Amino acid sequence: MIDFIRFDYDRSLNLGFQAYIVFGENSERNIKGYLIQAKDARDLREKLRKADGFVGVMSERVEVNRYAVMRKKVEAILDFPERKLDYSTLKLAKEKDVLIEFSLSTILNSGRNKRVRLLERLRKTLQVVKKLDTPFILTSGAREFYELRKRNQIYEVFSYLGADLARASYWAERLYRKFFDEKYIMDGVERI
Amino acid sequence: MISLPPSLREKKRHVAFELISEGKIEKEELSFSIWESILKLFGEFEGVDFKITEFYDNRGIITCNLKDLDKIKIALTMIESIEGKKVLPIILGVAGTIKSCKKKYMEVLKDADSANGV
Repeated sequence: MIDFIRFDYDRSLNLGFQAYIVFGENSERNIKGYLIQAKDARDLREKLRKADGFVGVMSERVEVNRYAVMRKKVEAILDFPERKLDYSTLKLAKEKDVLIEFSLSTILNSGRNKRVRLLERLRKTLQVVKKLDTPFILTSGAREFYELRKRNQIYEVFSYLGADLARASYWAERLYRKFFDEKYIMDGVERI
Repeated sequence: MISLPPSLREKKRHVAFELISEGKIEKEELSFSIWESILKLFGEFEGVDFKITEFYDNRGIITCNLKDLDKIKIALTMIESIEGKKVLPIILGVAGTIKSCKKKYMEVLKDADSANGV
């Protein structure tokens, strides 16, 4: 199981994750992700040229997220309160095998009124994700130590919002195997 | 109703938890924060009744009804700070009786040491 975080965590606590991908900061102890914040498609294209490793995209605009999903280098669409996704983006994410992140810190850091809207939007998105079987990952998205949570606790919250936990575990396990299992090539294909 | 036959009584669950915080947390402060979290998340109509059975050294046990277990876990998870002190709540586990809860989750932690792998 893998968690996406936004700071370099020293792994002093066992929170049920086998590995962490750090976005937006340098990391020696964890896997370093490449964070791209894009204003428009052109900006994204330029930033993607320099990008390498595990690329995650953050954008407020639906068009940019849709464009990001279509690019080969992009591995994940990262979560933050202003992120907007539509049906076609989620459908494309399924086709292109791009992970959609749902992070607990997004819920934790949103104010009271915003949180109601965010949760409503999240419920709808999770419903579509379930229908289309889009790859998704439930993470803490922590920006500091006190925003980290145990894996079971994160899953508990998203389960209440309608996430399919069995699929969430499957996608997280698959991502872990991509990084650490030498035998793994793709689903159904393994080195013997 | 004061006393109900055992078959009609609500089933209880005991949630063992630990708080990693910037400072020491008092039982009353924690209780207030959980209430606040529950009311914020579920409102008065969907609210949950609970009791902090034990709390010492930032570790404790919350007792609640079985049907409200998920809500208690979520409310605990969503606590960010208590009286301005940042908090990382960790749910250690759930048990059916206080005795087993203490035995499984609280007593093990007493001897916890990174040297013996606990």
